[in-house]
Amino acid sequence: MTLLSVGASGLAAAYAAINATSHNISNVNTPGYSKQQAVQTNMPGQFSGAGFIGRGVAVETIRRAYSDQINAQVQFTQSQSAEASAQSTLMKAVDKLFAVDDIGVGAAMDQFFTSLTEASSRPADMAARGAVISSGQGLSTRLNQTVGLLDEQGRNVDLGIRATVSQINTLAQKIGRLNDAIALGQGTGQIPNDLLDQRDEMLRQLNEQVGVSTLAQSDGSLNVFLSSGIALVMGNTPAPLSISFDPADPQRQLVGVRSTSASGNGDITLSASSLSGGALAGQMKFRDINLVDAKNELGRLATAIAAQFNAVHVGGTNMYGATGTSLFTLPSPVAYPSSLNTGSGAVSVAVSTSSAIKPSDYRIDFDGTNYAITRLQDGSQTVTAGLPATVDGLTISLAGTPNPGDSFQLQPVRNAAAGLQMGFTDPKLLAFGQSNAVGDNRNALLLAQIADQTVLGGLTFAQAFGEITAKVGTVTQGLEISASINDKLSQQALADQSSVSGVNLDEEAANLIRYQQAYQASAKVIAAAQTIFQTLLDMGR
Amino acid sequence: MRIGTSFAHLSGSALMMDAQAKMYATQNELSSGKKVSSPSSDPVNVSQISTARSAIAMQASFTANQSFLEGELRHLESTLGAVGDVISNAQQQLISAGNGTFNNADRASVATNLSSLRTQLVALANTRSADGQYLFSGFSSNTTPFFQSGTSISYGGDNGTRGVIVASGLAIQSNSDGQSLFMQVPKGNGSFATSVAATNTGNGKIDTGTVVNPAALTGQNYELQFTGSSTIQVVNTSTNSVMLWQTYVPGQAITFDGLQVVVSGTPAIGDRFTIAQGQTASVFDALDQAIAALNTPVVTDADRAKVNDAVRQVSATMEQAANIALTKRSEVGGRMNMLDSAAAVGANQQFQSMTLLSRLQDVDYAEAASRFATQQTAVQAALAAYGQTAKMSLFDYLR
Repeated sequence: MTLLSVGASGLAAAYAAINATSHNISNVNTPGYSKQQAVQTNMPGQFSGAGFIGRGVAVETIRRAYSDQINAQVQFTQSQSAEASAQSTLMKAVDKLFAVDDIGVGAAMDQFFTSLTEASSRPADMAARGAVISSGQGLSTRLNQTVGLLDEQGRNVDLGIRATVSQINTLAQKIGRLNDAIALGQGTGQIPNDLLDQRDEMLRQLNEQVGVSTLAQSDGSLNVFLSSGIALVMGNTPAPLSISFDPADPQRQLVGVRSTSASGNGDITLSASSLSGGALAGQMKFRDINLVDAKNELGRLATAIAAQFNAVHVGGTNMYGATGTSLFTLPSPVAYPSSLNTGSGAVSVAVSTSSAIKPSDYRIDFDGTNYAITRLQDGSQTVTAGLPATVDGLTISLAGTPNPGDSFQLQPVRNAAAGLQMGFTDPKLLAFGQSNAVGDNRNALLLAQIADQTVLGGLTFAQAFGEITAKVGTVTQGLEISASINDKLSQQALADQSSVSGVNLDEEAANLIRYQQAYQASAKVIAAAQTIFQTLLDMGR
Repeated sequence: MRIGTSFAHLSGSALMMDAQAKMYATQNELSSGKKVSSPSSDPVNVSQISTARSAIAMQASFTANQSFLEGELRHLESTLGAVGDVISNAQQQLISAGNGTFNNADRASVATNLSSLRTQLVALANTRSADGQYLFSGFSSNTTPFFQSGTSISYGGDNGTRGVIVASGLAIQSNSDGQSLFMQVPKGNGSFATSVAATNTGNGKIDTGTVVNPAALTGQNYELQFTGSSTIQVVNTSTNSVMLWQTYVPGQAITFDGLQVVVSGTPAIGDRFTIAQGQTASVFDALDQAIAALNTPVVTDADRAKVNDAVRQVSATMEQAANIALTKRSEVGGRMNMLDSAAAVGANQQFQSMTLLSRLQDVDYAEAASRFATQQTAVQAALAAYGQTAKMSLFDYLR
């Protein structure tokens, strides 16, 4: 009975469509969900003498509204936005530390200079001398605390990186499992829409943590790669990321892919510059570039303060009639040999011209003949056949014998601001005179005048600090702008995605009525068929 | 274009958040009064803000130093004025001692007056500033500069000149050198000093002398010797050579080697008058010399001549000392002028820095308030629009 089956096919199709609509309505707020639609097709007609008589409708498939291109756009922009927002949020905290206010490093520096100016006019006044000591301690404490807060932030970022890595690993695992399920679903000849949506959502979340690219396989699974080409998921197998420590700098936590070899030589580590997109890139760029820059800037300032004031102070005489001692003390500049070195070489670094030093770390690579000294801040390189050598106001010396391929990391000023201390706390030890006389203020005048001198790359201390705040401000603002642009782009991509894949409840309401009516009509067809059939039966009675 | 319902809600609330964030940023500016809260608020100007704050802090310390220095210089000036007054009193006493009618007792009374002036002068020379440091002891500011050592006053200070920074790169001296003021006063007319030899028996006297040709001065010492009743022999005692013989005419000028002296009275044969160049004396020793001479009873004409000569010599020294005190006082006045102009320039710079700082970091309340009003409207509009659109649904109409 054709009529019944035509009606039944209509019922089934309408039912499937209502089902799809209900599914859409249920998932209106499900992240990553793409609206689904029952694709109906009319069944080929049956030939009769009067031509082809339609046989009703069939549901061909359930299709999700989806665009590969837009989806890729969403993942890319969200990845970029996550990176920019991670880096910018972290940098904003640094920005606050450099606020130009009454309690910042700049104000502490001003106080030290002004206390010196005032004390220089009354060298025998113990209260004025005491003020110099306390403001000097204020300056060193302020620098110590600022770097302490930067370090604290660095530790928090390291924790954040660990959390990000564990999230990446979890997502990679889920994607691997979904790959499996999708391959299985794909085997039925139909497309497992909801699994695809889930995997896309996992990929979007993964992209928020780290920028990845994908390669579709014929079985429907996706292989996932980091931007440097390292595989993160192959089929159903994730390759977990792990945390290790930088062989060149034992303080630095690295993220990498562990090799299976026991020596660890095959380990691949990710650098901030090799990553693109995702919170991980933002965190690593902040930690390895912005934080290091900030510490080196303050370290350079502290190093120059100590060098300039000490040089004058040791030329004077204190109230005990003795030659002045160091007004400030600094920790020694740090030089690490790489843990992969095979030679016995040990490098040390000392500041020789404080006004010429740069706020940067350095790397020394020995190729068997020459030492290439690279300023890490900007990559500028000096090649020398032998050490000691003087670069940027630093004297770099070597003990022992390095082997070709050995490398060293220098941090000439990075820890200076953290370790800056007053050399003494006894006000009488201030060497204000150049003779034993208590009223001799010649050296105090020289100390007070340092504030006016160009002591750091052609700038006074006040100007140099101003420049540091400008740098921090420029970087922070740049990151904020980049974060805001990326956020807008990702919002736009989401809007595009929503216009293609998003569920609109009004549309679904209309569809519900449409399919409900179709269902009712098909039911009517069956009722009509029943009536016709009954008529036939009644005729036979 | 289709709109996903969920996305519409999310983006609607994102817009509200955004509008609110902007409004709260402005509210923050309004309540703190600062438009620059951290370097990123204005990276272009933050460096200027920082250096302007430093300049203001430095200028405040210069201002503190200026008022300190002003106090020191005022104290120094009034002390130098008092020193000048004491010296001028001593000069008057010395002039009165030259009175021909004075007897020994009169002279002794002048000596007593001089002695009290000397005490005052020592006290002035040992003046301390407000913070207990001696004014005239150089760098050794906690060492009593002038103290009695045996029969005379010794100097325990040094020549240190203490500078006070009153402006960037400008230090003005706050103290004055006590040694040149009290201890190294040039004797005589400032170039050379004449005296009557203690062994003279005649009543011949010599004047303080004048320099007639500064270029011809030798810096050497001479002696006028009366070899005969009317012959003066000029001997250069530095080279031990006889310069010239001259017939003695009382009151006639004797000129040689760029200098000129007048001898008058009646010297006895063998009497000598000395001319010494470049000699200095302590103002206290000079007074001691006058006191001793005035306390010595006059019996003979020669005695009178010696007392008068001592008074004349000390008067000359006191005149030099008065000049030095005056010079130093006007020098202090010059420093005060310098200080005044430094203070004026500093105050002007301070004003400029503060204006700059205010322009760079302070909120323009009118602008910020109107911005706040605009943002408030935007938030209200966003809330109203969301409220209207969010509650629209086709389901409401399907009954």
